[in-house]
Amino acid sequence: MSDKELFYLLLQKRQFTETSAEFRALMEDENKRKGLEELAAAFECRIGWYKNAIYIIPLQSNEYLGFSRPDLREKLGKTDTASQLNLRLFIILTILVSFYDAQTSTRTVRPFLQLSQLMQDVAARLKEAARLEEESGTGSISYQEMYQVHEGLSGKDSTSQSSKKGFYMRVIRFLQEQNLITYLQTENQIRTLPMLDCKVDYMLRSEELAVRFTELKGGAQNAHSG
Amino acid sequence: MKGGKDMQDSIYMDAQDRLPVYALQSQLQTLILKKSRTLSDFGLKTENQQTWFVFLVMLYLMRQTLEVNDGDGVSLEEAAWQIQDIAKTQFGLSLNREQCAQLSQTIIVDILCNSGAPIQYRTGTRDEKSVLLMFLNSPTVERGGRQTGVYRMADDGFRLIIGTREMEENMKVSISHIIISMHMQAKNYGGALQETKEQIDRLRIEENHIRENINQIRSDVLSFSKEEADSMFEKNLKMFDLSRSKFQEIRQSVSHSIADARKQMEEGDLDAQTAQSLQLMGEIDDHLQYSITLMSRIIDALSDFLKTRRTEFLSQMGTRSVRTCSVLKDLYEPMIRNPASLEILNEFLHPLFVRDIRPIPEPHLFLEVRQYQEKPEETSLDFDEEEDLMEVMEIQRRQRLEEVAAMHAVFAEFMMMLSISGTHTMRLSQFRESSRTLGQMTSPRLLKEMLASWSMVKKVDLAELFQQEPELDLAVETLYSVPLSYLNAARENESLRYFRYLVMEKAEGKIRFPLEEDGRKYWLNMDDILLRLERSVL
Repeated sequence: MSDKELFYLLLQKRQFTETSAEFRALMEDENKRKGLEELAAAFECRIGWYKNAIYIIPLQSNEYLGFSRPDLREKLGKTDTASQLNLRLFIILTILVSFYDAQTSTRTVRPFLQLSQLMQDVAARLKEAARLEEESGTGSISYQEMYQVHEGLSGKDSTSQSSKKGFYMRVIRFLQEQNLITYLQTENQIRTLPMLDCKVDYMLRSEELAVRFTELKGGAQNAHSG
Repeated sequence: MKGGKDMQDSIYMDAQDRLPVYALQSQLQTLILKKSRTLSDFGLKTENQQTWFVFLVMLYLMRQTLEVNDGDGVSLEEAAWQIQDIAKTQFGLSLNREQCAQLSQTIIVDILCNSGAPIQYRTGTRDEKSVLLMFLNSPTVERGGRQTGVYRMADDGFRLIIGTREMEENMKVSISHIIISMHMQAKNYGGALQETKEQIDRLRIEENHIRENINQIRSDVLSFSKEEADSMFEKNLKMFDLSRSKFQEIRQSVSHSIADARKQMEEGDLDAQTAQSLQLMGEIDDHLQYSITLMSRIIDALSDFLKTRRTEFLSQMGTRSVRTCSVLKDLYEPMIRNPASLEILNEFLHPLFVRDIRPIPEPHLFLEVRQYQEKPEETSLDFDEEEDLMEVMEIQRRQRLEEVAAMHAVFAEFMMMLSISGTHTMRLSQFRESSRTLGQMTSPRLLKEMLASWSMVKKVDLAELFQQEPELDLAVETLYSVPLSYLNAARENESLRYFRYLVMEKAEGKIRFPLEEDGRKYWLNMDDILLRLERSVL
C-alpha cells in the first residue's frame, strides 16, 4: 500500500484504528509515515498520531475538509437564525467543558453525560452568560437571545425541531456522524469516543490555535473592562 | 539477581508442604497485630494503615533485592529513609529520623523477621502440620569497613508479593525467571510451562506498550520529558537485557534436561512420567525461545523509542505549543465574557470536524492541485493587536457578504443562461466559455469554494426551497450554498420560480482552471458538471 493510497483511505475513513492493516503498515514503515505527513501538509491537513489510532485533522485554512461557519449551519440547521446556530455551537462547547476540565486537560472527567444534565447545564450557563452580558453594558444581547431561544423550545419529549430534545438531537447526531461521541438512546447518555479525546488534545495544544486562544482572552478582557 | 540464590530449595523439593498465599498473609497479619500498639504510636492508628505500611516496605525490599547493581540488601538505616518517604507521601505523617529508624526496626526486625525467632505456621489440621516461614533473609556484609546486617526478600516474601499480584508489570517480567527456576527445581513442569506462557503475554503487552509510547511521542513529543524518556530507556533496557540472559541460562539448563531424558529414551528405560516430562520440557523450551525473541524485540523497540523522541523533538518543537490550553479557562470563560466571540467559536471547533467524503457516490469533483512553481518566501501580514475585535469582526462580516454576493452573481448568470436555453441543460464548461462573471472571479479561494459547493449538490427541490424563502434574509446571510444562490437568482429572474427541480450531475470530460495564490501557480482540475432545470410533471 503506497502512502498515496493510505492518504486516500484516511480521507475516506477519517481514522485508522490500531487493528487496521493501514495502522500496522504505517507503524512498520517510517517512509510511509513521512510520505503521509507530506501529503497531509500539501492538502492543508495534519496527521494526529495517537496511541491507538491515526486521525486526519484539517488546518484552519482548509475549507474543503474542514467546516466553516456556513458549513456548520448547513449541517446543524439550514434555516437556523444566528442565535439558533450559536446555541447549537454553544451546546457543543458545553459538552466539551463537561468532559474536559482544566486540570486534566484531555482526559475525560466523567464517564458519560446525561442528556437531561446537558440541557440543565446549558440553561444554567446561558442564564449566567446573559446576566453578565446585561451587566456589562456593551449593548450586546447575543446570550440573552440564545437564552430566550433555549427557553422557547418546547419541553415535549419529541424529536421535532421545535422541541428541546429535537434541537439537541440534531447536534448530537452531527457529533455522532463525526465519530466524536456516541449516544445511548435508552439510557439518554452521551459518551465521548477516542477521536474526540485526541482532537481536543490537538485543539488545546496546537500552535495554530494558541494565537487564537490568546486573542480570544485579550478580547474577553477588553470586553469585560469596557 | 540475588533473590533467586536465596530460594529455599527444601520448600520446593516438597511442593505439597508449601503454604498457600492466604496462609502467608494470615501469618504476616498475626505478626503485625503483635506490634499493633507500637505501630499506632507512630501514627498508624488503624489495622488497614498498619498492614498497608508493612506491605509498602515489603515492596521496597523486593525491589532492592532484585536490584542489579546493589544486590547486597538493605540496611535498617537505608530502609529508614524509605520509611520516612512512605510515611510522608502515602500517610501524610512527618516522622523524624529517629522515629523512622525505630519504625524501620519494628517493621523489618520485629515483624518481618519476628525479632529473629523462627516463624512457625501451624495449620491446625489433624496431622498437626507446621511449616517454617521466612519473609526476609539477613546476611552480614561489610560496609564502610565494618560488618553490618542487611535485609533481603526471601522466597516466602516473594511468594506473598507475587501471590497478591500487587506489583508493577515490569517487575513481574523481571521476577519471572525466578518463578520458572523454582518450578523447574521442583520438577513442576506444568507450573513452569504456565509461567512461561504468562511471561509471553506480559512481554507482548510490554512491547505493545512501548510501541504505543512511540506513537504518543509522534503525537506529542512533550508527553515524555527527556529525563523520563532516558530513565525509561535505561531502566527497561537493563531489565530486559538481564532477563534475556537469565532466560538463556534457564533454556540451557532445560536443554540439558531434555538431552538427558532423550538419552534415557535411547537406552530404553524411559517411564511414562519421564516421557510426559520430556514433552512438557520441549514446550517450555519453545516458549523460552519465543520469550527471548520477544525480549530482543522489546530492546529494539526501546531503541526506536529513544530515537523517535530525538527526531520528533527537533521536528515538533517548531509547530507545537509548549503550553496546553484549557477548554474551560481559555475557551469557555472568554466566550462567556465576550459575546462577540461567539461568531468565531467555529474556528476553535475546526480541528474536530472533517467533511465526510464517503456519501458522494458519484464524485463530481476531483481536485488535483499541482504545484509547478516553488513557493516564494512567506510574507507576514501586519496586524494591529490593539484593533478592536468587534470592529475586525464587522469588517470580516462585510467582506464575507461581498464574497457571497460575488459567488451569487456567477450562479445567477449561469441560471439565467440555463433558463433561456432550449433544453434547460448546460455544462459548466459551456457556461465558462461565454460567462462574463466567472472570468471576473479572481480569488482562487472563492472559486474553489463555489465550485466545491456546486459539486456537492445532486438535486434541489425548488418548491420546498421557495416555501422556506420567507424565513431567510439573504442580505445578511454569510453562508454560500447552491439553494441560497438559487433563491438569490430567482429574486432577479422570476422565470426561475417556475421550475420544480435543479439537477446537477457529473459530466464527461474535465475542466482546468489556472490559479495563482500567494505567488504559487497551480491547476485546479475538476470533472465537468451538467446542470438541468426540470419543470413539474403535470
